[in-house]
Amino acid sequence: MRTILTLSLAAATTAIAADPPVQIEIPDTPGALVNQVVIPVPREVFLSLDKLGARDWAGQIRDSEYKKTGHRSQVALLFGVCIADGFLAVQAEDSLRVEEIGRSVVRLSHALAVSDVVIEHARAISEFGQKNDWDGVRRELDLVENNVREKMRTLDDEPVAQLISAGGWLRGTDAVSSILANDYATESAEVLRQPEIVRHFARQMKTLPLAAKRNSVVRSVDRGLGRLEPLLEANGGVPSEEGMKQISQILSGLVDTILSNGK
Amino acid sequence: MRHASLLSISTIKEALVALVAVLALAVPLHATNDDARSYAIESAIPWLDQEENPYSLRETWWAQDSKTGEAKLIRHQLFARNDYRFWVAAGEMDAKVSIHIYDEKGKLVDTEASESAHTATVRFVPEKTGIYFIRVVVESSPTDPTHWAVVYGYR
Repeated sequence: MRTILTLSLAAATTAIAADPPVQIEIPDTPGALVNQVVIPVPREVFLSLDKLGARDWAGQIRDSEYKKTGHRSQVALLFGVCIADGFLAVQAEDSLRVEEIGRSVVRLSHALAVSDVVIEHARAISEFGQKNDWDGVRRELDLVENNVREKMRTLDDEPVAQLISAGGWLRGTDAVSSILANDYATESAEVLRQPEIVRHFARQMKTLPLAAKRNSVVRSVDRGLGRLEPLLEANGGVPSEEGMKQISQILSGLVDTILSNGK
Repeated sequence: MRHASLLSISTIKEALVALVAVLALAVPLHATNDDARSYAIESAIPWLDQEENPYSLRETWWAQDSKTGEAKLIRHQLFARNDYRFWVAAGEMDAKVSIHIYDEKGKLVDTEASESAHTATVRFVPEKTGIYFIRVVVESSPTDPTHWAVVYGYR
């Protein structure tokens, strides 16, 4: 009886997956595809590059104050830049800068009316920064960005959520391209093989409400993404040395525009 | 009159019993949507708590409902040399799920995948930066469709 029971239990739990197919068709239509784009955090790119040798991340830190003015869409881009700067400060192990970022995150969250989902994490960012607990800071930065984007979605403000992601991606990629433009190698340049992400942001720009589309900073970002797309797709997605310089220049200009509120 | 009242009380009682039975059947026997994500994170904990070189968990996730046997693909950007691990969990405790990674041309690229109860995990260290497809299949489930969630970590 016990054997039968054991056999029955074994049979019930042997719904173990069959060997996966070694080759599948990638569908070009929705349905089988999960329609949700997750943007990598800057740390993923930094880490990939660091595995080829140490980089001067400290040299990429900007002395930004993240002054919040202008349209909500501008503040969203600025918020994304601020979070990416937090990842950069952690990479450079700059605890003072991490603390400043923590304070700026709170200030910007008030402007976006999302401080309720930010305050606690912003405090944790500063505390972890003081203790040099870099993994803790990274976790909180990721949490803050995710919480704010989720909050925007619950407020039916998806465009702002997308602009936060765009700002973060632009700043992270700005730092990476600047490093690669100064110290070019094909193997490293491959980390910019991200044409899908640029296309995703370019598509999102088209869906923004009119008020956001008319904003001068948003317009600059939209135009900049249009210029980046061919450069990131050229050469099989691995920018040439010259291409990298152009990419770096465009990104640096866009981040300047976001930080200066288009002035 | 009194007899009629008793009858009606009895009828009401029967109706209530029937209602309770219907409600009991209507209560889902499987976990809620959010639980799928919690289960996925729970299954990731041993890798996140490793003393040496633990994975960093991303705070974003994917979630969907699938019919049994139906494959769903998540298109995602991965970076060369990073060590990625994805965890999937079904909200239904008696379901079986699998997870694998394919490159842009649809070729299976992962080398380390395993399933356990209603969760599964896969590890992949890409040689090339680019778009990859994470394929999730609900292999078996007492409910149809089955809700699942995927989280990922990197190091």
